[in-house]
Amino acid sequence: MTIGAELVARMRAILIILLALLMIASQAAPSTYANEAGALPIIGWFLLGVVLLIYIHPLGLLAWSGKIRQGIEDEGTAHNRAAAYCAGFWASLIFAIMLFGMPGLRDMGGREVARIVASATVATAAIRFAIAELRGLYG
Amino acid sequence: MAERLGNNIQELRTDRGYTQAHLAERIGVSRKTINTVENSVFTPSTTLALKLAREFGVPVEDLFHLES
Repeated sequence: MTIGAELVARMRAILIILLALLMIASQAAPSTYANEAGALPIIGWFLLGVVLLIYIHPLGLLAWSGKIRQGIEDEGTAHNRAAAYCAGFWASLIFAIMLFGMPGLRDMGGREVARIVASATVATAAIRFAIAELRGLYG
Repeated sequence: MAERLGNNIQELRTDRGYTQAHLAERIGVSRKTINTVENSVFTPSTTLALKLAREFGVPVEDLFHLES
């Protein structure tokens, strides 16, 4: 792994954590729910999710040269990605069960439920991936 | 009883005067992967295990062992 590739890998992991935390924080802000105020916050949330998924996926490295991509993307990263998707799956299941079982949330709309579950899935996978990458980089 | 894959990569690497980065470059993986394999965080594929063994010129059994 070249110094450049290592720097890119480190920056990517830090950026993923920051974006995932932003996604979690956006769930707590009432203005981000779908309402009469307009669809812009939903679009922002959607784009944030797409950007996070691209960063986790090897597609997120397409902007970099082949040498840097080769220095970052190997079987260790593939393993971290697989573990991240697995963590996302469990987060999705846990949040879906929690939302289904919470009596106070019976009136929550389908879109809001879908958004919470999707946010939990993407944020968990992203954070799991980034932490595993940083752990490998810093030893 | 769960068994864990131990390895002698760090000793062999330092014996040869390689840094993690040098070794990674020689076998075409990232330093991160070498680091996680050395620390038994990541279990390498057979391909990578064989590449490591070939690089050090030892049988793969001398590189990896099972720990209880």
